[in-house]
Amino acid sequence: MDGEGTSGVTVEFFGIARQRAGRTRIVVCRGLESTRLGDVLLAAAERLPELAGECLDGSRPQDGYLANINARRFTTDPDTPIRAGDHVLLLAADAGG
Amino acid sequence: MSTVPGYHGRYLRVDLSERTSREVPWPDGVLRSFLGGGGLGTWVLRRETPDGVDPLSPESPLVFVFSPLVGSPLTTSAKFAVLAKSPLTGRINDSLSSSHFAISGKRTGYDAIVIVGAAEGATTLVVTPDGVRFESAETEWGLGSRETGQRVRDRLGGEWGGFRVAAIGPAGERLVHFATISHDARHAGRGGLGAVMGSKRLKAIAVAGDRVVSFADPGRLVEISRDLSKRSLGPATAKYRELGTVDNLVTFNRLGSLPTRNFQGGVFAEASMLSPESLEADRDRTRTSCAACTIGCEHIFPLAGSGQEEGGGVRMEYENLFALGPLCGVSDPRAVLAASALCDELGLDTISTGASIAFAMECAERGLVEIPGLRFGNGDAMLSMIDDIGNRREWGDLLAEGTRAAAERIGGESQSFAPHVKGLEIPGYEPRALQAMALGFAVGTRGADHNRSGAYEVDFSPEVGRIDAEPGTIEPVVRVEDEAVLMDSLILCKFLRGVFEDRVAGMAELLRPVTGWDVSPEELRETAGRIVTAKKAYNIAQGWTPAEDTLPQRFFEEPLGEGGSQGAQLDPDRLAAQIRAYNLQRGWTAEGYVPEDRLVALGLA
Ligand code: SF4
Repeated sequence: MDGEGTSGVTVEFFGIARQRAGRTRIVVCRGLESTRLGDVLLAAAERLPELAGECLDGSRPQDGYLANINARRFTTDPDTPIRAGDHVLLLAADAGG
Repeated sequence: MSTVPGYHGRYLRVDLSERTSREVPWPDGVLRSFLGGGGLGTWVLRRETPDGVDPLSPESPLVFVFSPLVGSPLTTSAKFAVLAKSPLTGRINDSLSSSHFAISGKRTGYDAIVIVGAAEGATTLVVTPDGVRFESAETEWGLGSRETGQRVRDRLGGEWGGFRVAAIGPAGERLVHFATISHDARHAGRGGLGAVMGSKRLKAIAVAGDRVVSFADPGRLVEISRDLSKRSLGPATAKYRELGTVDNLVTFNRLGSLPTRNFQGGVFAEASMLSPESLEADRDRTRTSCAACTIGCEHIFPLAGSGQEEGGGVRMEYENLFALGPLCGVSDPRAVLAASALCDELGLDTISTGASIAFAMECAERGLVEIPGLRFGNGDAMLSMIDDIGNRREWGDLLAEGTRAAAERIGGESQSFAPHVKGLEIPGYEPRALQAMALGFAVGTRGADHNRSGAYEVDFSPEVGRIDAEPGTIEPVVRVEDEAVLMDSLILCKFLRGVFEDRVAGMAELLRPVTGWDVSPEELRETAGRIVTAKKAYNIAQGWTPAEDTLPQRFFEEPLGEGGSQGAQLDPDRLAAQIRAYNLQRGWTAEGYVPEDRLVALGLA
């Protein structure tokens, strides 16, 4: 797992999170083989302070926002296990069209 | 006449055949039991619709309904509902629209306008507190709704402070089964209400007046209106204000839930060409809003030569973007904007239009039909087919009946991939990737519909897995449907949803100072169940059978091939079990019929 362990976790931004971040994605937690969602989000907020408050509330998505792991399951639980190579999507919970 | 604050206490019943009208008082208890908008309209429609009526016959009623909140300072409350039996589905159809027509319509002094019969020639119905007038619309017949509205307003002048007009375009005149009713470039879009209006040779309805309702506690109403407006400018609505719903396209694509090429897939390789950033790359986007709205979610993109410069360009939302873009395999933003403008001009529902053309494209690619040039990705062919549908020319004449009817005629395997439920084309939520939404589509009284069910909210939550559709899906699907039916009855814009901590309690709080009713969240939840059941009872009376509550075969047989929802497909047994559980949760039989004692308990017998 060494190769994966150094690849980090990709955080992808959608909607307002993308606007605030000013980019579509960043890679955090390089060198870790496994971590928690909360630590991924804290690392993202440290790199992109614009996300704190509006999109992130400490180690959780802010109210009205969700994290999604690898484009499958949605969660807001900071203890959700995350592995190197995973993609964490940060997006608004409201998908009304 | 004493009445409940927030209401006028009566509706206007107009007979176009007889050229007469009369006022009808609401029976005791009806307003509190059905509220307004879609709820009150359902009550009227049940009362006024003969069983088994042809939706396009004179006997079929067309109902415009306002609501208790219209005219109040509550943000996003300037909305109205239009209801009729849908020519597309043969089932109940309630579509909502916005803006000044709601305010002026309520100022006529009526809570609803019910129209029956059919005029002898093209007619504009003029409604004011002085009564009704039937004016010739021969000179507007054939025009788009925008030009019609302007001409009627100019002709009627400044009487009563000026008129507001809802009108049909050429598609409504030609009875296209998914024609819209339009007002200020906003549409009562789904289910073909424009065809019902066209069948009555009613080109336009003009409303004006000075009758205002009282409110039970005006001071408190102003207080909570201020608070709601403030909250409406917070983070919960930032997406709608800054990006608009078009932003869904990129997100849905990443999740593999973006319907593509007639629902053959959930990922569109060229989606980035239709992202908000791409759409505004060489265009100056502007933003506008419905009347009395602080959010302003409407993002307008200029399109040279669209004839829409006067109104500021083309209003793009996720649904017209997905339906005229990825669903037809079209990635050229100019083609999508032009197609959207053409649908507006003709008066066509963009979802059903895009879905009908995408369906025809797949039929053509499979060799089931021979339509020169109509292939996925061909924007010019799409534009040409939109014109043919709106004018009922050649293949467009068949597609104008919707995908269910077209598949019945085309035959072969086409029925397995005709993208509809109960005849209503599926909106931009891929059901294999969003399986709570799939349940919402299947049981929806209007057909495949994301506005009445809203079950995609359950998919976009940690509550259940969106692809696994676990047993815990039923309760939240019922809950969000109940919340939606209340919002559609009050009527409030759904984009306000996020500002309420508890939506039902929040709506009860808004209703109290308007009406003076000491309404509790529990009462509102029961009201929601009553309205959903009333819609179901209407459908049963019009011939509904349990076999209608399903989705096209494609979704059970073809797993999604790539992307975030790779491998997802619907399990027929699981969906059937969920439908039974949903029905029982509603107090119906497992098959979905409403027992007599349930009707009695809800006051619907
Ligand atoms: S949020 Fe958008 S759709 Fe809703 S009332 Fe405001 S402008 Fe109209």
